[in-house]
Amino acid sequence: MSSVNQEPAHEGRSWLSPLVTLGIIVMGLAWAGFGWWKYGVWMHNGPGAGFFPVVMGLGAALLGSYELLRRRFETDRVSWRNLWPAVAMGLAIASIPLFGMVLAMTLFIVLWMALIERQSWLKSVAIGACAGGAIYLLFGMWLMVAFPEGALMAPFT
Amino acid sequence: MDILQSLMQGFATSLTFSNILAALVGAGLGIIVGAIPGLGSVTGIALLLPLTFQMDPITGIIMLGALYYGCMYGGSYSAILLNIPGDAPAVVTSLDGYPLSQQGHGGKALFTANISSFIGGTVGIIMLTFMGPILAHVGLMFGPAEVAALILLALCSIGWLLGDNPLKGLISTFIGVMLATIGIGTAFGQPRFTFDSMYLLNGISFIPLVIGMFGFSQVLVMMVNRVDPSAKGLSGRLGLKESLLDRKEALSILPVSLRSGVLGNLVGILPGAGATTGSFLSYVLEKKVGRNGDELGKGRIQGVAASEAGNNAAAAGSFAPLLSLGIPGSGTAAVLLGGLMMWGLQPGPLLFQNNPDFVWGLISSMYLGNVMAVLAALAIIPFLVKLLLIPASIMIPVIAVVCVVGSYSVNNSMFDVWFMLGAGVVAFFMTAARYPIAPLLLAFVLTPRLETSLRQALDISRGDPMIFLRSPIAATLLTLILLFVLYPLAKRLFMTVRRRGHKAAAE
Repeated sequence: MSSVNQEPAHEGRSWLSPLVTLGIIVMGLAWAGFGWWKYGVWMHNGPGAGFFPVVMGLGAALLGSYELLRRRFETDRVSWRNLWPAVAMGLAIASIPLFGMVLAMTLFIVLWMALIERQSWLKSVAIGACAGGAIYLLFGMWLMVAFPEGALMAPFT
Repeated sequence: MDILQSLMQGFATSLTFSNILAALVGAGLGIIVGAIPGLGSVTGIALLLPLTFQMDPITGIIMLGALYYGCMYGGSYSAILLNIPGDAPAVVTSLDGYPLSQQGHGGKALFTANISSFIGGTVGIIMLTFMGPILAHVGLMFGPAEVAALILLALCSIGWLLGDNPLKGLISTFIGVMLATIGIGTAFGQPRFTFDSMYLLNGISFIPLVIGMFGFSQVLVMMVNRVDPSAKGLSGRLGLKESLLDRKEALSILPVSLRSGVLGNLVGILPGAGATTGSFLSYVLEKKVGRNGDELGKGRIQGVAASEAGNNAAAAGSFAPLLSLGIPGSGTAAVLLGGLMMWGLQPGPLLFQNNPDFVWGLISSMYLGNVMAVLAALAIIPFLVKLLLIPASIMIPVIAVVCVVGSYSVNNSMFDVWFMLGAGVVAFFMTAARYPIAPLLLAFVLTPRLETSLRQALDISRGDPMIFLRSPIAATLLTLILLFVLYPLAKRLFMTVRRRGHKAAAE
């Protein structure tokens, strides 16, 4: 999802771009600081483990600062609604130790479709069951991925 | 003539009913494995390898070769349709493939990917057939200094070429390099930025990163920017007929595929450079010399063609050092090397003399595997494009689940799943602030090799940086880097001076 892959975006919140740029500057400075003091930039015959972190960290911090000073902030429109899938999926992932991977993901699809997308329960359960079954057959059976089983499912396996 | 005779003998060995069937099964499985986000050709071959030990070695290697090609075809599908690259080279394919899907030309993008994969793969196999041993020796001329210069060239061109704002592209490249320094790198054997977490000791895993940054962040975007397929009139444009290229389009991707095939093959033979570098440099070449180079990245079939042809040709190229010298040119070739040795074959200069039946059977099977893979791939396009008609209300939860399962299945690690989720959110905000993500991922892939090569080159020269200027190849590549960096600056300066001149004249 690079910027080139997006449809023409609308201008959005002006604080987002400087905030992201500020985050990049802090990250760059942290990388440069660790690289310089902890890992060493130059050894006796060549670059040390801190060489790339220092060069790239300083580069990112300097270019980020230039971007901030230029004050030409462009931002796509974002809303809290954009983050709903991340929050819901975070809850689903947190429930994996209880339900196991396959059931947790099936429940995520069913509940998301029924509660957020307002689809009928029948349709939601049908699609959730198909997706869960496909994941189990493809990854669990064929590719033998060892999915977490979950405390609730343990007595049945 | 000897080569042609040997190749014909190879075809006589490989063109039996059981071998053709093995190639078809391998190609089909490869397409499925390649299309699943998180699984690449290395996993596919590793999974199938134990099954092939029951087979005749030639049948076994034909099946594996076809699977390898099938994976290369399948890897582009999820990149084009869902913006989730199945493997690293497909990151480049998604740059034009996904916008094409959004514009309702997903079928054309898939068709272009398949045809250019076929052309690039064929160019690669032909070069391998006639120049394999020579190519392998050319590859050996690329020592650490030359490989470092080549990867530096690729890195320097990323920021300038991708995205509307080169400065932000460059910052993204720097972030990619910084992320790649996490963990115990091969160059130094010292843990960096692990913060005492055992999960970070091996560094960040690429697949969860790419799935999060491309796939999951796409889910977050879809949440608000929903596209109703029926409202956009997509359904009328997703039949088989609409997926076919017209004469003009077909002619436009032919030269792109041919030159990308040659370049991709040459990059593929370099030890460790890999299909990602092949795919990316082919895209860079197209952006520079192609007729519509400026349009690449906005949804052009030429971009898909360059990436896919370069990728498949590099895959063929990686066999040259494996067969001629016993040195695998890619991760997949390394798994195949293990397979060859388990069959009692020792790849290297003597393989052509001691086991000519096997070598030429393998090379001929690559032609067979490539044909089988393109036929199987073209046959499933009509079904694949129907995916684009699924409404967002179903796509959002299903893609989110595929992201979780795909990132878990790489290392069976819940840490990877959480990391994917975090990477998705970070990429969403970066994209909203107009920082392109593709340069970050490409820099992340290329950096470990750059760091190792730079370290090795300076170890060889005892710290003397002149090693980069003494080698004609490295010096040429460094000159190209200078031109790459200076050209946009010089162009901007020239434009400013000219504008001021015009302004002064007008006044």
